[in-house]
Amino acid sequence: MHYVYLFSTFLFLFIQASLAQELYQPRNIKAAYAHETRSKSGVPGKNYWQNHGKYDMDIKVDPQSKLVSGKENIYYTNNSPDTLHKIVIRFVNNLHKPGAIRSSNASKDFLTSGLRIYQLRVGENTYPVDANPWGTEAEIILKQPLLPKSQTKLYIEWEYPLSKESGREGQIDSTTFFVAYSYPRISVYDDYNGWDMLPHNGRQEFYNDFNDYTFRVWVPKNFVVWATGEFLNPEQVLKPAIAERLRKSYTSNNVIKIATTEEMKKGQVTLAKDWNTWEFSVKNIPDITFAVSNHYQWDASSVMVDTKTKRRASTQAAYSDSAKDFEHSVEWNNYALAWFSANWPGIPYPYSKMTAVQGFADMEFPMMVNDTSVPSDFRLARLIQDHEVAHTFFPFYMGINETRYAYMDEGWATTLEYLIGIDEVGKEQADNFYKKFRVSPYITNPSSEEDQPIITMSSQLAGYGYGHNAYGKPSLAYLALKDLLGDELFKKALHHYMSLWNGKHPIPWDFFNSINVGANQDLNWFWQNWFFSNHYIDLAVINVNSDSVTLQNIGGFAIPFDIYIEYEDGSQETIHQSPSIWKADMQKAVIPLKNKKRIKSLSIDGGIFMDATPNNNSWSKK
Amino acid sequence: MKHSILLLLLWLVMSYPLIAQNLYTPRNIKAAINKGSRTENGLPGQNYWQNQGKYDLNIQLDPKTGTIRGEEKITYTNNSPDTLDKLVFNFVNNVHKQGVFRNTIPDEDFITQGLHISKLIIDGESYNIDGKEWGTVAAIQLKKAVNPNREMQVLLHWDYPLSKKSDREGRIDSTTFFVAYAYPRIAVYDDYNGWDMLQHNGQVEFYNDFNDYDLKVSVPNNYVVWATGELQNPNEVLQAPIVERLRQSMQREEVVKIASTQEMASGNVTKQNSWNQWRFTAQHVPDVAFAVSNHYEWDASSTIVDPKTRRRASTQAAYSPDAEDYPNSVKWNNYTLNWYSTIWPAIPYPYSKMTIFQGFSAMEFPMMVNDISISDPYNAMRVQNHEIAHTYFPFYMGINETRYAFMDEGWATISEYMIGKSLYGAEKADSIFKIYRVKDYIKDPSAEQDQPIISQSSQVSGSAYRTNAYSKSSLALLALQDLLGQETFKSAFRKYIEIWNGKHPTPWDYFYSINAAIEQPLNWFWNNWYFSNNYIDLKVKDIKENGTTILNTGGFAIPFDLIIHYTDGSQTKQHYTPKVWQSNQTELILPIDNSKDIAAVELDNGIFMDATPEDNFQQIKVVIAAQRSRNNE
Repeated sequence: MHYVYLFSTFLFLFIQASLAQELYQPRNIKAAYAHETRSKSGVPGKNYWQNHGKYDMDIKVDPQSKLVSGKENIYYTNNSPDTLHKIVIRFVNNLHKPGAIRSSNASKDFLTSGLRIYQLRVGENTYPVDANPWGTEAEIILKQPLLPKSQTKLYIEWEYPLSKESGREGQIDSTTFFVAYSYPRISVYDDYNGWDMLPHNGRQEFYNDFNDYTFRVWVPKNFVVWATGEFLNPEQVLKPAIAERLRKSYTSNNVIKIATTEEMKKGQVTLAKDWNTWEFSVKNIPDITFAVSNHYQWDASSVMVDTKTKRRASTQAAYSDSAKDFEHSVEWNNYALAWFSANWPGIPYPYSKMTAVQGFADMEFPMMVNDTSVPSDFRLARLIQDHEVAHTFFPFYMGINETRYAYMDEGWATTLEYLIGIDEVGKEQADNFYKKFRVSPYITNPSSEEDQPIITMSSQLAGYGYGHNAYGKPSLAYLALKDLLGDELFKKALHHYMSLWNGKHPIPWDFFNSINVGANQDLNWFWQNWFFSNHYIDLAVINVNSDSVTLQNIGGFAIPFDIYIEYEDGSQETIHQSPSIWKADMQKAVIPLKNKKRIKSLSIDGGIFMDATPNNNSWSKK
Repeated sequence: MKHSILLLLLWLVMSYPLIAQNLYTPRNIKAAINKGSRTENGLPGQNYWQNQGKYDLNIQLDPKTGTIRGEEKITYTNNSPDTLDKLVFNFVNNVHKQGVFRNTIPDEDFITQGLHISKLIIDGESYNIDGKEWGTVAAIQLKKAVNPNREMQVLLHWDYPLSKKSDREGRIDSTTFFVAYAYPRIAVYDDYNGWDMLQHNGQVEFYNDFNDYDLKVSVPNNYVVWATGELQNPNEVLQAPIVERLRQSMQREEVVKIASTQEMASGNVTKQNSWNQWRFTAQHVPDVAFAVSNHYEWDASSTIVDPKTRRRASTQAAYSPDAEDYPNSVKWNNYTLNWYSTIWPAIPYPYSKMTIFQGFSAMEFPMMVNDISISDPYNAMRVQNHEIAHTYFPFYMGINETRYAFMDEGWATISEYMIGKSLYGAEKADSIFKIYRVKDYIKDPSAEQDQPIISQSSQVSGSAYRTNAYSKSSLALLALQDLLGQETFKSAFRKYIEIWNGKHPTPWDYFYSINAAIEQPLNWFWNNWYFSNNYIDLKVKDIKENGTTILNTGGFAIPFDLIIHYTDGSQTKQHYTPKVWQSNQTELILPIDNSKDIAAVELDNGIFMDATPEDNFQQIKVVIAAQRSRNNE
């Protein structure tokens, strides 16, 4: 007994030691912590910095030639402790070039000649630039290096064609354009990788500085512009009646038709100048984008997103006549903004508006989404909009490096889409959708690609290795954490993380550390289990008797699940197990049964945590 | 008593993870083991199978237009237990098309319109497919499914242009062509992934069935064809004196000039038919390639590659007259084939020939290499040796390079290093290895560099691809060699090669067959090198009277030398194999001889370059005097 006690003490110590084990940190991340730009306590390090740009831009869209041309001044501040000898320019729309790096085959109509640069100045120096060989990023070697804590000004004149076939941006129809990633921007220079030199491959998403923008979009009369940011000059571009409707919508809970297709076509919407200049402005935001059409319907309303300050956000939609689902877009949007603000993540929607534009992408932009119309399935249409709107929090508000850590935003958007779905259509339907689209394709595919650690950089994943590591698996991880901590503590921890890191650039370790602190417990065992392993979901019932049930965790993920028991006396019982059951032993669990009745049959069910081999999840008396 | 039990318990607890070490095995690999197509004992499973094609290729190259036209008959045998309701084709040269999946930006002259199919008949059924929409992979829904253990017949007619700018293949100059991946082929259908649907991105390499080929290449007169396989009809395509020179070269070690540029230009080499059809055959090889020129120099010789049977392999080279390195190519080739056949891996070169062709690449093909001319002879030799080493891996060993590039590039990289030592000495070989294979990797602290070697090559990108495929995987093999000793390492590898040649081993087959060959589970080593985020970083933590403490900050189980510098200027050097890291992979206490006053302790990792070399040396602050230590006793 004594020895057994000693032994178990050692075992306990050993397990403690392995639990307290630090999470793997790559060399560059370790270095960032050593330089105290990040910290183990989860708060930004005392030497934390990020660079900043002020963009002042004039962008012209010619509906005839489909050319976008622009002039921009960028006031770029180097807050880093490093002297920058080069500046990296990023223009992801060069993805359209025939020889571009890409992750899937593109059709002919997607291809364009890409960016042309007419002028590029940095400070007082003019740089002769031939952008013809540029990919999606290019280096400008500076004639005068940019010193730490100093500013420089870039001036760029550029032009590029909108592709006939649109992906995330391009021509929607012959007179409707979704114009995104439309200006050459300065790539992120950060504390753990230096310049972000990763080429854009069409699939991965983005990583941007928080910038301030003032921009003017030039379009011919009768074209309306919807954009990121505050619309500064409605009176200078809209007819008074339209401007008035728009103004009203800012305080109205009801959906107001700002302009109909008919009004657009009759020239009753915009002022009749040859070119109208639409001006927008926004601060501390990762990107701006805009859409243009001369025939889209325009709906608007607004919703209170901060009950304390009574702040309202404008909700708008722009869509073609045939898009029956989009007729509900603003109403759904009002619901979603209020719900996300009050429930999950439970933080007031941080922007002043959200415009949903009908396109072909299902893609988020700050204050805008470009969504496919699904007129045959309103439920799906709404779910997609909810998902893209949820991205406001992750990646935009939280400054996620999506290119490398897509699971830090897609996992959350998928989780928020599910949680709001439960509210909208009930748990059963939300579960079914989540299982069908987010879990089943992953768990039923035994390929090695599916079981790569979630921590694997998204830029280091290809094919179907990318999708489920970005969406389904991390979402399951966040939902397992929610089950583990309970809603209240989970929310407290999430808010702790979000309040520390919004407007900054958290990396996965900042997330882990700040949740550990926010939840006031060392969750490294959980992070290790879900993010740093090749685990998947697969439980098996090994043994059942009236005292206990023994389970094996073959797949390894620490999932929550229910045990359904049917007793010989006909009574039934459901016992819920949180992921904490796997904390001490991740491979085996012996669950004591209080109710010492004879068991007729027993099964375990992870619900949305679908099992790779469900056939070994039940037991019945022979 | 109580203490010893405590210690025993502690030992049990601490050593538990080491005893219990298993290798992570993905679900699909586990399933293959469960189905008996693979095993955990290193042998192919009793249900192991692989599919096979017999390719009858009739290819015409028009040098004027640079167009390849082909007629192809494939007899494909489905040896799998599955009914195939689709057929997947690979045509990796579609990587030249605009708008395709790719991972680097090519020159404009690299872009072509890709493959055009004019006829496709499968088992008598005609398919209306022109290939215009194809990328590098295309699946065709079969009108008639193919049952297990059944054959199917595929007939294809096609054409595609050779790109003006060549990479691994294409036009070398206006009348010289390296023609590879030239025919649509049936993708691999295997036991762990089904159809290989991975698109080719220009960087990842290949995964092919072992097929039989009957290759006929038609070119105008005065063009010579060098190809994979045995030339079947020299008398029909070459003039008699040339045939005779070629015949002689097959029997002697001296380098024979088969044809000079001058002879080529004066029409003294090929038969003067307006078109000559060159026929080659090869059995059980993963691919065929060929090269064509009307003005290249043509050297040939042969060397004994199997001392038992006295079998010779033909060694050839074709190059432009101004190439400085290429006149030595055949001589080097003889040395290399011989060395690989008798010294390492000491398995007779498995093919009948090896032709080195001057192009712009550094790329291996079965029995052929496309190498850029390099004026530095060491580097030229190194590259040629590397590409020839690929004969064993991936070709002889049927490696799935697309997913597991580290299985063949690691091999070729250590072979290049080992033969390099024999050619130009350890110091030069070490220095080349460090510069080309280790330095860039270890100096770069990016998270990309430290991904587990086991990560699939089709998943990693950027510099991570090369680091994992070449640098870290070759270091792993060299660490293994140090761990096992040269002889055991060689015999283990030979066993692995004997068991798996002509098949498709996965990394787990490799780990398990080495485990079986040396009759001890090296799972701790595989876990340390292949399944971890480790890198190379040792550190001298402290020096005390009982020894010096070494920290393994990076984690990789590397061999190293411990050098003790004494105050009298003398030093001792002790080598430690990776074995020292087996029980504790983070910290070691090594005994030091302190009979003399120690000045400093130094770790020399050799080619296992350290990420932070500055902490591999520690000067002693307080001299540990031998006298004092004795007094203390």
